[in-house]
Amino acid sequence: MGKRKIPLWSALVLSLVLAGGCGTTGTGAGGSAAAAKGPVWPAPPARPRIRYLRSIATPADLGIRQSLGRNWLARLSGSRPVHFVRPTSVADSQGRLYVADPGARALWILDPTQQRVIRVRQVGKSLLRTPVAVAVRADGVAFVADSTARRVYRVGSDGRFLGIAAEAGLQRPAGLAWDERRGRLYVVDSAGHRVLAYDRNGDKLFSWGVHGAGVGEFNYPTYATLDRQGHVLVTDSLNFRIQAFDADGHFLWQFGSHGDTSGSFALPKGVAVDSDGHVYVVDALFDAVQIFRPDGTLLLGFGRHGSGPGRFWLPAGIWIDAQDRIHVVDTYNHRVQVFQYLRAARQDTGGARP
Amino acid sequence: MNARQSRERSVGRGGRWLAGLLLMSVSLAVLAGNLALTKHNLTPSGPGPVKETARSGLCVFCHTPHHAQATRALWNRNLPGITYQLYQSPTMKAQPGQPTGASRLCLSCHDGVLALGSVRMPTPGSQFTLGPLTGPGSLGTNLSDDHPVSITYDSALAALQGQLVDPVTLPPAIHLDQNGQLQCTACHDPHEEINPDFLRMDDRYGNLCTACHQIPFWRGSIHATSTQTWTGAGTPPWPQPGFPTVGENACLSCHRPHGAGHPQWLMSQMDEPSNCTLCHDGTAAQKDVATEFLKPFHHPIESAQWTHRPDEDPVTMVRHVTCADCHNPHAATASPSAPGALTVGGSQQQVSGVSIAGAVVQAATYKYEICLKCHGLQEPSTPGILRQDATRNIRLRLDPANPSYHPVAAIGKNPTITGLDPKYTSASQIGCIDCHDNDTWTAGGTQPRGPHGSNFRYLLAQQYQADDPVVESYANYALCYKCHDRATLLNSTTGFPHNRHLVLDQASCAACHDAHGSRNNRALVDFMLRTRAGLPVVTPSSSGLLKFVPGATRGHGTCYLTCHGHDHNPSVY
Repeated sequence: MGKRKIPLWSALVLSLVLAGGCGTTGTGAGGSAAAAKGPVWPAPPARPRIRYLRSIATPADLGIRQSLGRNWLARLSGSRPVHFVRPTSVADSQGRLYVADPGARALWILDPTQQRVIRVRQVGKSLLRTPVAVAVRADGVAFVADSTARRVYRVGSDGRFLGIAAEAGLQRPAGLAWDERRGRLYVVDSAGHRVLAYDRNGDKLFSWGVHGAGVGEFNYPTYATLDRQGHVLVTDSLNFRIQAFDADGHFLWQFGSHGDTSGSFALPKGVAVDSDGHVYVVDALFDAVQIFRPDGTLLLGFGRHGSGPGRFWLPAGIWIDAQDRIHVVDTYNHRVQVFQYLRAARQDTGGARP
Repeated sequence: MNARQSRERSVGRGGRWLAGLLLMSVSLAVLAGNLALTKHNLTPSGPGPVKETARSGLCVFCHTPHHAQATRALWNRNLPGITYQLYQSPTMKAQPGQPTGASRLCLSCHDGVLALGSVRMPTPGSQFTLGPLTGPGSLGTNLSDDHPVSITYDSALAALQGQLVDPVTLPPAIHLDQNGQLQCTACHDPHEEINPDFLRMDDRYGNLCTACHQIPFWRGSIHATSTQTWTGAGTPPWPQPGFPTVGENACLSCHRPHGAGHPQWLMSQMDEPSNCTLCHDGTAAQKDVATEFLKPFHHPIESAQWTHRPDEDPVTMVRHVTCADCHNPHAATASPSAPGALTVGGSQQQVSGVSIAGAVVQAATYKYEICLKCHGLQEPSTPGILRQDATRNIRLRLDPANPSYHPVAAIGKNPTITGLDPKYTSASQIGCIDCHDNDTWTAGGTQPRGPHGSNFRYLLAQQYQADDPVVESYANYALCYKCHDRATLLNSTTGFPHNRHLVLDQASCAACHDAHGSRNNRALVDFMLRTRAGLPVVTPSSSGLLKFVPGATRGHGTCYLTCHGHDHNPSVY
């Protein structure tokens, strides 16, 4: 159970290289379109794959100017600016950013186009208690999982309460994933150790999973995502692995082991897939995001403990949009960090060479 | 070295090894055995008895197993793999609200997903309102409704804060981490659930809280010792199931270390007065104070917006009122004040006030000093009677340097006063609550004394019509007639002709007298220029004068004024 320190020489090399990488902008490699500003991973001379874009902690970070006239929130809260408190999950749709923030007991909807920010605290007659996850439909309707209330709510893009999407039998709804093509909502029930599927009307279709460590079994699963084929990837957190299932819940593959080194997991949380099929797993205790091929090969890890760009403090959820922008919810830095997956011009198999 | 000797020697050595191994495995087994029975048994063993092989697997959920070899990242093959520092990493300038050390480990699971654990989970029973964004609705990243963790708790902090125990004297049960920081593990032992919620100490009588927090005067106070129980009606005042009596719940009657309704001071209820009224409505406390504030005239505690601070300066504070302005919940005792006593009773121990001279006192000696904290420093902004001397600062009127005043701060100025109720003499002193009191109080009832609420304007114990005109009757001036005998006033043939003014002309006592004091005249004379509604009462005489000139002796005087159409220019008595 002890920890072995990194040998001094490799620590020095590592810190020098990383410091260099974080400090410099991308050089060479034929000045690509994005005027390379943020730090990249891996550090040069390796081909950059991930670039830091920005952090979002307040609406101003998205260019939303809060004026007293238009924004009732600013009036009520006086001069104190709107800020994420303890966000855990993020998704976007139609240019709007949806952030589930159990610290604020709210779902934030940030709309730069309409220059407004909506804070959803009330759902029907109840108040949101611990809204830990959000998933969004293409039409902007959001699903919010409230783990304490044991419900998944439907909320419109204007913050209006639309109804309860899932309730019966849920012990602790956590991660959500919405399949636009099939019109299905997948709900991860963390304390129930299973995944449930609902149709767009909120009717339960089927569920799978029991408590255990075997194939297709779960031990406190947390988050879920869909890949481009509609397969469901579930973070089986306390089995320290990712399991993938087809759209009907049949087991496909898994990878992951428990440990304190790169390539293993200490506490995996959010999971997402980019357009090349790479699997991104957020590890809260590593304060890092690790990227894998579906067969479990480690491609890259980025992030360290801290508060600056590319640093995390107990991160949780992750969401990758259609343009391969990676949103990582940096919970205890009270923000969402956005990175860009730098796709190769030609089909990339994950890189036998840099 | 025959066989027997060598055997004995090997047994000796082997015996020690065996004994050591046995001891370690027994203690680990005990620890694991205890852990296996708690909620922290996270092994995927499913329902049924815990399997033997799960014992080693029990620990890994928090004590991540170490891998000898780190995997190299394919996209970064130039560098070796990384071994991550999980929770021993340097603090790297943690902001308030950012967990370090063992708290990182706890909060990585107690996130509302893997565990609910009451981190930012609303406490059952706390009332929720959608009011203005106070409490947890307040925006800001370091306003946590949980007890702070990952803070350095050292002697300097204890000295600065003033109500904390020096950490070197903490009981052994409370564990600070090796950096001297307070983490979740200071109060919780994640391995064993000897006390509920994995607490390291039994929290009966607030033992866990008071191990660090030394609140002055708490020990003998009523909230620390009361044997009152909760009737079960309404919202529970403490987290259920809790202990049976108020004293045993102690701090938890008003505070929540996790999921507090209001983050500052970790108050249990979001609505400020509810912290008190949940018990003081007859469901736990003996008296029902909450109903008093429903009367038409009351101290407006329902408007409290957490403006009050325990360390506020009465001179500069924003005007507000809440229970804590008159009562100190940590110091109040049950011993009521003797009837007629001027000094504070048990319920008002250790409350700040303002003396009659205008100086702030940290612990008021006299009850009136607590009233003067708000009513003796500033002019009120609400509409009121306008007098010739316009001040409505009560302290200025009660000042013993004035020519006349009701004897609250000092004995009165009239040694020859007559017509008093036999209880009182010219040397008596009264308190604010002799006039401002509960109008429906009965001996032996559930209603409290004190200026909480009244059906009479000005929070009076009895009726006093301070308007114009007023039909004279005992009922209309019951407050005055309580002490000043009505028969003597109305039937006297010497001195001021009260009968003509009160009965015939229907002038109120208030037309000429200010009930608190007069800075210019004796006998509390200070003419009412306008009523509360703004209607004129006493106006200058035909020669433009408006004044009272006292005669050489009491019972004689001259008035210049116009009132009810009568021109006094002058009138002499």
